[in-house]
Amino acid sequence: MEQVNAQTVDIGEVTVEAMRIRRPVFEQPVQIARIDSLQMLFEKGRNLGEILARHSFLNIRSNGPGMATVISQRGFGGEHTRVLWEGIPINHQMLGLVNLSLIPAGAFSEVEVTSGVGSSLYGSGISGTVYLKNSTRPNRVSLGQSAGSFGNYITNASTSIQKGDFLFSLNGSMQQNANDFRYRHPGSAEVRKRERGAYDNEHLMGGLRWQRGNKSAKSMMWWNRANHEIAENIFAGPGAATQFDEAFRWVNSFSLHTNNFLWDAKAYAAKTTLNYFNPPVNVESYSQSTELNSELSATWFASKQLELRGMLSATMAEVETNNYVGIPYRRQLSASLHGTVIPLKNLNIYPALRLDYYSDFGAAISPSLGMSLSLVEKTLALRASVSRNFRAPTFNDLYWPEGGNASLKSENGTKSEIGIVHEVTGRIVFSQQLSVYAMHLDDGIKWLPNSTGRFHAQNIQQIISRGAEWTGQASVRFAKWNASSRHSLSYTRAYIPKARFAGDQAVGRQLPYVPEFKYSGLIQVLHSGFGMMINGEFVDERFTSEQAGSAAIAEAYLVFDASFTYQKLINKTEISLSATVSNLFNEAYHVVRFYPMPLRNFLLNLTLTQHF
Amino acid sequence: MNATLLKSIIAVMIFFAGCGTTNSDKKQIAGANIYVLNEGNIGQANASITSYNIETGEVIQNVYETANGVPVGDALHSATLINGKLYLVVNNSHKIEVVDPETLVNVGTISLAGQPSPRYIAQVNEEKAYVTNLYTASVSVLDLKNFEETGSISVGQNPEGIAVIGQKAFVANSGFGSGNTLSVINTQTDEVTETITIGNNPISLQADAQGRLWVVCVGAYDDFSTPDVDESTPGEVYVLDGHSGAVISKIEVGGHPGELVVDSELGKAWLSNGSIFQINTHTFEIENKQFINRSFYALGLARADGEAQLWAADAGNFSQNGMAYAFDATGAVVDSFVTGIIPGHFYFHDR
Repeated sequence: MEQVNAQTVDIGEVTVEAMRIRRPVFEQPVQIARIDSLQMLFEKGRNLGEILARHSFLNIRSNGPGMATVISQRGFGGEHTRVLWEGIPINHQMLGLVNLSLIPAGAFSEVEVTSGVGSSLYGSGISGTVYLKNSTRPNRVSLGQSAGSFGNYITNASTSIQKGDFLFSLNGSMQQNANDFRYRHPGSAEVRKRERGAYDNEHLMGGLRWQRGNKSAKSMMWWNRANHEIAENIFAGPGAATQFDEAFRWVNSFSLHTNNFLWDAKAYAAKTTLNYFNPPVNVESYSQSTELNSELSATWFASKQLELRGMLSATMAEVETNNYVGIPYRRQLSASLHGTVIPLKNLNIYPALRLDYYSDFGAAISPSLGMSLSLVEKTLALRASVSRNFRAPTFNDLYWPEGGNASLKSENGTKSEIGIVHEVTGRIVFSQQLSVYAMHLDDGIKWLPNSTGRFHAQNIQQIISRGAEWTGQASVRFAKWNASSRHSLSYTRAYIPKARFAGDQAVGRQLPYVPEFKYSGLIQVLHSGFGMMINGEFVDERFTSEQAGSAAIAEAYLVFDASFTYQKLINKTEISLSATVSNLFNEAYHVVRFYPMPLRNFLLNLTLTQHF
Repeated sequence: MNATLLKSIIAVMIFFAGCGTTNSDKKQIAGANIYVLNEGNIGQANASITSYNIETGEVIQNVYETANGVPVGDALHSATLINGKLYLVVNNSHKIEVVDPETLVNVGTISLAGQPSPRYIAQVNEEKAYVTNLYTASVSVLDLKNFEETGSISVGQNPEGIAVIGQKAFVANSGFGSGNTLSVINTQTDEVTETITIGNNPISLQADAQGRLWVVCVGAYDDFSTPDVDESTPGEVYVLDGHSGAVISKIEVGGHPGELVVDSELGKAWLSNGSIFQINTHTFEIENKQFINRSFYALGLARADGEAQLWAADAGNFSQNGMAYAFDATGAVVDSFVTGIIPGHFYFHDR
C-alpha cells in the first residue's frame, strides 16, 4: 500500500491558455485567475457557477441551485463575458449568455478567468473570459458516486487510454436533484422547504488526441442535457414553468509546427436546444440554435524578439424558434493579427487588431495594446493594456417579436487597465496580482418601453465601470505537509452616466446586482493523502432595481464551505473519498433577492480509479 | 467561532468601510388619503404601497412592508374596500392580503389554490366576494368571515375585470386578447347563467351609479407570426344595462385602450388610450381625445371638495419609481408625488 502523491500545490509557472498570448501569468497584460485541478478535486458535484462564485472575483447571479446562474464581471452582464470551451465561445445565440448551472464542474480539470480581455482576442465581448480546460491523465478508468442533501445524487464515470500516438478519453455524469432544500423565510425565523426546483442533467464528453513529432490533432465532443423545474421567488407561488436544455458540440483541430511557424486549423459545430414551457400562460417556446465555425491561424516565431499570429475565421449561426418570424441567421467573418514584441529583455509589448464583419449589423474593429514590464526579474512586473471592444446584439435583441430591433448596432466600449504582478519563490511561494481599470460602454443595448408601454431594444445606454481586482496566493511545503491559501477581492463602481430618457433616475447609481465589494478566499492543507479546504465568499449588498432605496436592496452575505478529501492507492486502485459541507454557518442568504440559497448542506463522494 | 464573529473579522481584514445600508422609513401612515399600489416587476416580489396625504403632502413609500415586516408579495394588482377592510389582490403570489385600511396592518391572508393568478375582487354581500383568476378560467368564491376560498365558478378564458350589479356579477373574459365575452354569474347560486358577446379583449369593467356597466374592450393584437396580416382590431367601450345585459351604447375609441374611470354624477368618464380621452356619460360621445395629451399606466378618480379629481400614474421605464399626478377639470396638473415601481392602481381612503 502506498499513499497517492497526486495532490500537489500547483502554483508554479503555467502558460495561460485563455489568452492567445501564450505566456506565463507574470508576463500577461491583464488580470488572470486560475482554479486549478486540486481545487476542482475538492469541488466534486458542484456546477460551474458555484465554483466561480467561491473561487474567483467574478460576481455570479444565481436564482438558486440548478436555476438560472450567470456571470457578472466588472459590472457588466452575462452576455458581456465569453465562456470558452476549446477556445470557442459557447454563449447562447439567442440570449448571449451561458447558464452556468447547466455545466457540471467535474467535466473540467481547470478553469481560467481573465478580466479585461479585449475583443481583439475572441471577438464579441466586453468584460472578460472564462476558459474551461480539460487535461487527461492516461490509462485509467474511474467510477464515482455522490450523494448529498435535498436528494442530490451524481454518478460520474471516466476513462482514458493511451495507445501509441493516440489518447482516447471519455467522461460522463448523471445528476438528479430534488432540490427541495431548506431556507429561512425573510421576515420570520421560519425554516421552509423550497418547492419546484428539481432538476436532472446528463453530460458526456469524449475526445481522441493524436500527436506524432511536430503534428497533432484532436477531436472533442461534448453533449449535455438538462431538465429543470423553474421555481419562482418565494413570494410568488411555486410556479409551473419547466425548461429543457440540450447541447451538442464538436470541435476538430489540427496543428503543425514547422521551423518558424505553428499552423492551427479548427472546425467547430454546435447545436443547442432550449425549450421553455409555462402552461398557465400558454407559453410553449421551442428553439434550436446551430453554429458552424472554421478557423485557420498561423504563428510566426520570427525571432526571440518578435512573434506574430494571424487568424482567419468564418462563422455561421442560425436560430429556429417558434418565437421568431422565419429563421434568422448570421454570417461572420473575422481576421486578426496579434503580436508579441520584446524590444528589451524585461519588456513585452502585445499589439493586436481584429476585424469582424457580421451579416446582420455590420463591422467592428477591435484594436488593443498591452504591455508587461519586468521591474524586478521574475519578482515584480508592471502591466497595462488599452483596448476597444464590442458586443454583437443577440438574436433576441434583433429578432424577438414586438421588441426586437433589427436595426441595432453593436455595443462599443473602451477599456484601460494598469496593474502589477508580484511573485516570490522559495520555501514559501507567494504571488499576487493587482489591477485597476476603467471601462466605458457606448450604445449599450437596453430594452425600454415606448409610448405604448411595450419594451423595445435600443442602443441607448452608456455604462462606466471603474474598479480594482486583487488576487493573492501563497503556498508552503513542510515535510509531508502542503498548505496554501488564495484570496480575491474586487471593487466595482459601475453606473449609468447619462440619462437615457427624461426623468431617468438611474443616473449615477450603482447598477442593479453589482456589489461594490466581493471577496473570495480559501485555505487548504494536504498531508499524506488527507486534504482539507475551507473557502469563503463575501458579497456586498446589491440594489435589485435601477431605483436605489431600502426596499430594493439584496443584503450582503458571507458564506463558508468546508471540504475534506482522503485518497489512498491500493495496488493500482485509487480510492478517493470526499465530503463537503456547504454554508457551514447556516447563513440565510439570497444572491438574487427572494430566491433563497440553501442552509447548511452536505455532499459525499466516493470515487474508485483503476490505473492500468 | 460563530458567523457574526467571522463576518467581523473578514470585514476588518478587507476594509469594507462605507458599505452602508439605507434605513427603512419608520413613519406612520396615519392621515393618508391615497394609497398607490405599485405592482413591482413580476418575478421580483418588489411590489409596494405608497401612501400620500393630500393635506400635508407627505409621501411614504413601502408602507405595507413597514407595517408588517414583510413585502406584500409579487405583483400587487388591485385593492377593494369590503366590510371596512382593504383586500389587496397580489397577482403572482396567488393570494389576497386583508389589511386594516388605516394602518395597513395585516389581519388575514386568503391563499388561492392552484396558482390561479388573481386579478380583481368584488364584494357580493356581507359574507361573500368573487375574485377573477387569470390562469384558470375561473372565479373564486371567498368566505369573508373566515378569509378562505370556498368554491370556484368556471367562466371564460383569462378573466380580468369583475363588477357586481344587483344579483349579477359580470366577468370580462379577455382570452389573452382573443376573448370577446362576458360571463354573467347569478350571485345567489354562484352559477353562470349567461354569456354575452361583446368587443374583442374585454378587460376593464366599471359599474356606475346608474346601474350601467362600462366595458373596455382593448381590441385584438396582431399575431407576430403573421406579420403581413393585420389582425388587430380597434378598441371599444361598451355600455350595458346592468340589469338586462342589453347594450346601451358602443363607443369606438380606436387604439388599444387601458383603464377607464367613470363619474356618472358628473357625467364624465376618462379613458387612457395613448392620451386621456374625456367621454360624456350622457351622450356617450368622446368630448376630448386629448384631455391630457400623454399616456398613463393607471387612472383613479377622487372627490376633492365636491369636485372630481382625476389621478393618473406614470410607470416611467417600468423599473424605476413612477409618478402620480392629479388633474383639475381643465386637465391641468394640480398635484403630484413619487410612487414605487409600476404604479398600477389607486385606492382613495375616505376619512
